[in-house]
Amino acid sequence: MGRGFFKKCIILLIVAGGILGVSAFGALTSGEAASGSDLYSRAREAAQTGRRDAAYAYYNSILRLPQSKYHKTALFAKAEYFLISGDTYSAKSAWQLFLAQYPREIPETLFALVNSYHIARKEKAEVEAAAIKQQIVQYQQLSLIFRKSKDFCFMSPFFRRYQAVYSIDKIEFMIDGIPFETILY
Amino acid sequence: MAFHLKRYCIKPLLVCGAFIFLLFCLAVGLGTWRLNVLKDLFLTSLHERFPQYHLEAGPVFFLPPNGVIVKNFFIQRTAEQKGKASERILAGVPTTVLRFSVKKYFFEREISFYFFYLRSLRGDYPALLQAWGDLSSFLPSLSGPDRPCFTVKLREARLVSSEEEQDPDRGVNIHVVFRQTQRQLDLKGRLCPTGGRHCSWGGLVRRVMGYPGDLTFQLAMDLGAGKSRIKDLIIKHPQGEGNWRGLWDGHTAELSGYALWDTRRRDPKEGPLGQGLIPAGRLDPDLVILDMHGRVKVTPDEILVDGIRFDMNSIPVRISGRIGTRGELSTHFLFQALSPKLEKVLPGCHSIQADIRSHMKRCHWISSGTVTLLARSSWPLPGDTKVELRLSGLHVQDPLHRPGLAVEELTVMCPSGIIHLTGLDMFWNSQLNGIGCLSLTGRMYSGDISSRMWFKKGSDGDVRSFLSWDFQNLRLEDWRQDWPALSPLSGQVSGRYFSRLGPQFSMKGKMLVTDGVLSRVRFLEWFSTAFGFNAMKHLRFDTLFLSVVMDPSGIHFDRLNLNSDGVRIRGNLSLSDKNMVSSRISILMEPFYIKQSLELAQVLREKNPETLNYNFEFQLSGPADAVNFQWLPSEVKALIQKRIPDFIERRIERNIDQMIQAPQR
Repeated sequence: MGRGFFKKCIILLIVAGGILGVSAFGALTSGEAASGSDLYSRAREAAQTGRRDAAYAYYNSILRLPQSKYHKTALFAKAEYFLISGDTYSAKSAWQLFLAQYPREIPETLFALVNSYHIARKEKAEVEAAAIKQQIVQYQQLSLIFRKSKDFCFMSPFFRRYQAVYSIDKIEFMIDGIPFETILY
Repeated sequence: MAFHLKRYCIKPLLVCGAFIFLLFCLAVGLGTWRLNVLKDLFLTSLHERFPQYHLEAGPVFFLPPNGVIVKNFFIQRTAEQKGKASERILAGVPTTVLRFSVKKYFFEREISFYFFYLRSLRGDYPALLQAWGDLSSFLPSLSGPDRPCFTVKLREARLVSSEEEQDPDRGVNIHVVFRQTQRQLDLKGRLCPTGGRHCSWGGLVRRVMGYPGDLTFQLAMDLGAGKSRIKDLIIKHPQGEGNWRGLWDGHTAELSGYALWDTRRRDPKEGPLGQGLIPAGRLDPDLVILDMHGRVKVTPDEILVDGIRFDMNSIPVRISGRIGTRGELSTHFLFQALSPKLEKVLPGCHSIQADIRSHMKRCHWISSGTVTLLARSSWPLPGDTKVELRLSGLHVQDPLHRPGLAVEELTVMCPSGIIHLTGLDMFWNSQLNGIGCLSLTGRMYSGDISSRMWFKKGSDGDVRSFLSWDFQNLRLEDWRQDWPALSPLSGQVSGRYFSRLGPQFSMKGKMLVTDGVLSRVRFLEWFSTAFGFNAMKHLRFDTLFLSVVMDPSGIHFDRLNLNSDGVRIRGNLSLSDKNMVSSRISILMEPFYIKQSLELAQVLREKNPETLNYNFEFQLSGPADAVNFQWLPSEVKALIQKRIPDFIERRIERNIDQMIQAPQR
């Protein structure tokens, strides 16, 4: 007892406090990571079962997280949700945001471009549509040696199957097997 | 007889007459002697004052009551070094007639000349001007409140350099009458070409009625103490005229006026009467310069043109610059025309700026400088296209008979590259039913070029222009360092093109390249790598024929036909205004050429290789910088597909995909 014991107690307290702090920080961060994955799985589950609004809410929550590996998917989902809902104005700006942040992603950028082209064509914005069309045709250089065409497929966050069929002088886009857009050049 | 002499006092009359004649002869003799003494004194004092000049005059004759005739007067520059022969004669006058004021001679004892008549003056113009500048300090002032009244007449004067003197039919004859009184100044003159010495109908007509190309000028001024009023400054020519009025303060002239000119060339076959004797009222000018305002400052060394503004065929133009009056008469002018109305003259062009320097050499104005044009274009370069023309050695050729321009070197700088032309001759002809035609011939690098540009004024007033150009034996290797787009191609090219300029631009033409090499063509590089034909990366060919059509929709190469040793390429290629390619290419190989590719030779091994058609057909489309291509069905393709397994096909596809995408990613 005395001064030595008192010192040992203080050191013990500091060490315990340190351990407590580190474990609390770890718990917090692991909680956030879990939250991102969790939100993503919930969003996918909702999208798969056709609950689009709920899926959108989860995807939108992911976008609020500071850094998430699901950010690209969530951003694509947000734009796609607006387009499915018929809110072309919001969809247009969401696609623009996606293309600004992910200009060369394979294959998401191609399908983001075709969605933007679709909106521009519906709005009869010919100049804009022509500019996007140019981006689409420049997206991929193609060689057809033994085949007549090449396919690129992509499953969207809302479980819609995007398909691009590249031929020598045209690209046909389909969603769930239904023709969506055709680009001729 | 004696009776008659007595009756009519003839004898005293005869005596009196003889006495007067004696007195006249005495006066002439004494006057001539006195004048010759004075002449020597005058010339000696002049030489002392201006040792750089040597003045000499032949005999001087007195012609009572107040006339003086000076024979063979000339000015020569003194040799700077001793022993060196005197330099060339600056000016010489075979006959000079002077008249002095008798009143002043008797009452003020002063010889004051008021009339000068110089016949057949010959002068080396720039040097004479300098001599005048030096010697004029010896002469009394021609301006100021006590300005002298005098008249100067020049007849058959010629201002030519001594080198040109040997040719009597070159240069122009000048006839001038200059009269100055206390309040008035009048100058009238005529410049006419030399020649017509032969005794012919034309020569006689010219002597009587003047030469068709005579240029007359007239200046009338009211002289004042401070500023003088220019009443009329008129320059007339059978093909045009200019008229100006303004103020003159001794150094600066403020002028306003107009000028008209008929630029259309006259046919010399019209004869001596046909051209020059068109009354002024019948002048039908096609170059109209109105609302001309400007300020011209005259100093002993130069004439400064301070921003002259005018409307030339309703296009606003501004010119400023200077004209030197000494030495080589060097000039520097800035020309500026910025207006959408320019499109009426030069289709597509809305701005011209020129910076031209000139000097006189052997009686020719030699100019060099830069002309910058801004033109609207939609394709292949949207927006404004800047074309810069750098020229040197520009001069007028044969101005009296077939006016034309010659340019020693012309460099055309456009956004796509540079074109360098040498030894250009340009002629303007506007006689053909209202269609103007500019012809051009010259050298383009190692080849010859000839071009014609037609201008036709439409009913709406706009000018439509058409251009044809022809080039022969041009080595592309020389040109491609200035024109980067030609880098894949070398060889000797000849071609002929026809274009319509303006908003509906179009061009058609044919081109033949012989003995060349096609290299760094992405499609051929891909083909050679994919199929193992390494020689095709730099494909040497004998002939390459192309037919080209260019219009606002794009550029189209039809009937592409390349013949090489063992390989023939046929096809077409279109490049749209959006930079999209559309093409069909067929590569036909001789059986021996297939052996260059080990893999293909293995796959296509035949008992009778001659029976197989080695034709590789491709379709190309997509953006020009990343063209998509497809191997189209053919006998060779079917055979290869049949003989290689599917997994090899897939591997080939994968390899090619990686190859074409490698440079992009």
